[in-house]
Amino acid sequence: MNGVKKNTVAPMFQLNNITKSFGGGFSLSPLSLVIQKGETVALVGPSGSGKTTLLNIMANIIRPDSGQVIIDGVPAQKLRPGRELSRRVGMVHQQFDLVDQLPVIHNVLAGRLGEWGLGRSLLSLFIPQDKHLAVHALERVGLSAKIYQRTAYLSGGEQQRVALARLLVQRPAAILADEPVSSLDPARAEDLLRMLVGFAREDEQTLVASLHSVDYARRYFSRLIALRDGAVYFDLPVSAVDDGTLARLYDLGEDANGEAICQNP
Amino acid sequence: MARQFVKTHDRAILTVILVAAFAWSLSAVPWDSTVIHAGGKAAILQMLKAMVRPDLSPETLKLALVSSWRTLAYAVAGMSLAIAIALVFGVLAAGILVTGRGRLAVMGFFRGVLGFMRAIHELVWAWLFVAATGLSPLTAVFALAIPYGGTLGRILADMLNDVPPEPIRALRASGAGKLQLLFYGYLPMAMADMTSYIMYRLECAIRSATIMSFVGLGGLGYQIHLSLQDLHYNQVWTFIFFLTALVMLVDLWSNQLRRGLVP
Repeated sequence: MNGVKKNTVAPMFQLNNITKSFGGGFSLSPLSLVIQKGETVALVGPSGSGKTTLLNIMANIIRPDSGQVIIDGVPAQKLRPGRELSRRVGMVHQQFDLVDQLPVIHNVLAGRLGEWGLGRSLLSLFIPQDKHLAVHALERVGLSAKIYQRTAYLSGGEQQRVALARLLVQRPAAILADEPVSSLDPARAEDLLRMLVGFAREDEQTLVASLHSVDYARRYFSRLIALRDGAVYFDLPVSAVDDGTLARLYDLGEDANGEAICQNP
Repeated sequence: MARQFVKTHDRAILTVILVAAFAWSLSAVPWDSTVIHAGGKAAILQMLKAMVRPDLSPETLKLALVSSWRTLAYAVAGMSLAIAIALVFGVLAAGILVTGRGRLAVMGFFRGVLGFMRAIHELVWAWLFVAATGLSPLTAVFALAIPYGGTLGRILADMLNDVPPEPIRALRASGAGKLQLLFYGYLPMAMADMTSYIMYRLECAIRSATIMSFVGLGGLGYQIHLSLQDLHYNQVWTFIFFLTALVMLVDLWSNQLRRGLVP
């Protein structure tokens, strides 16, 4: 990313009055958000408050029922899957979603598939293409030694770092992370968050991550957006968030809507 | 009341009916000396005796070795062609290369083609080909490859459909197109299961190639056929032991391969 772009053009994400409802009675109520380039945003809120749905809408994986999503100045419905989208948005999930059977290097280089044609992708399975990118990315996440190991043999924490290395190779303008650390133990979770936020800042990427732990959110991110029942409960810079506000977010969430939360874990 | 009884004991009732049917069917067999024909007992005895004394003369062993090789060659050649057929048709039948309105049509068409290929037994294909092209090794290879390709293709399609969706979604998010998804996601994930199934089918192909040589295409089956006609039971057993060894070797090989593939 170059610094010039950051200051001149449209916000990274602009959501205007989006709604989305599912069969189970759960829905996102009309919701509007603007996230500027280079921001690090944590999405918090009780289970079932709509964090994953919101991230999937921002990643253009699901379409809202109504309203407008503008990604990097382009209406989402005009972004075709493939390179146009993969240069703008990359995603990490709670379950790392790697191909277990492939060696680590190919899972990392999969971040280049949007740039490569079919011939180059196939050749790469035998002679890794753009290998320096994978080597560099794996160095940054501290996994250089495992480059040729089969991905299935890596621990959960290591697999999540491979997923991160794939994103480093993909270099999207924005990273969306859906509960990226909830399946890791606390020490590894902190390691990973530190890396994720650190890389986003170094590479001037936008980062939006949903988190279970408000503690992590306050420690590593600059802006907190809290969702409750599919609506924005608060949207504040991290310095303005106090314990009382957070307590209310979770308490009220459970009291007012305990049943709905149980139905949509 | 009665209906409730039937409902709770439906399995037991069915079992009783089936056992009764079997017992009744036994009464249909004429339990006198005609079950085994006059010379039958002697022949069976002779065969069993020959089993412990197979013909191990150099000529027979050499013939058995050459025939085993030929049978294996038919089986491997047939399987190679079958794998090629299965890859193309299986991927198309899985419907992962086509999206939108045409998807179901493409899936249905290629599933239908695969079904047709395997609905006809390899022996029947062999007869059809012999009628058209005469007795040639190619006949055996094609006759094997078509029904085996049909089975493999169907199984491959099912395996590709059962691949976990999350890694595929993640690859798509990295900008992968359909063919890239196939080579970076679907095929690697289905590879281990597919390999062990292919190895199992190779065993079947060896048995089929043996049967096929009864049609006159050479190989172990042809030799067993000739020796049986000459009542050389010792030779028959030599060939059967070679066939067993062949199947066991493939099994060993398959175990070796699987160990390398399954994480």
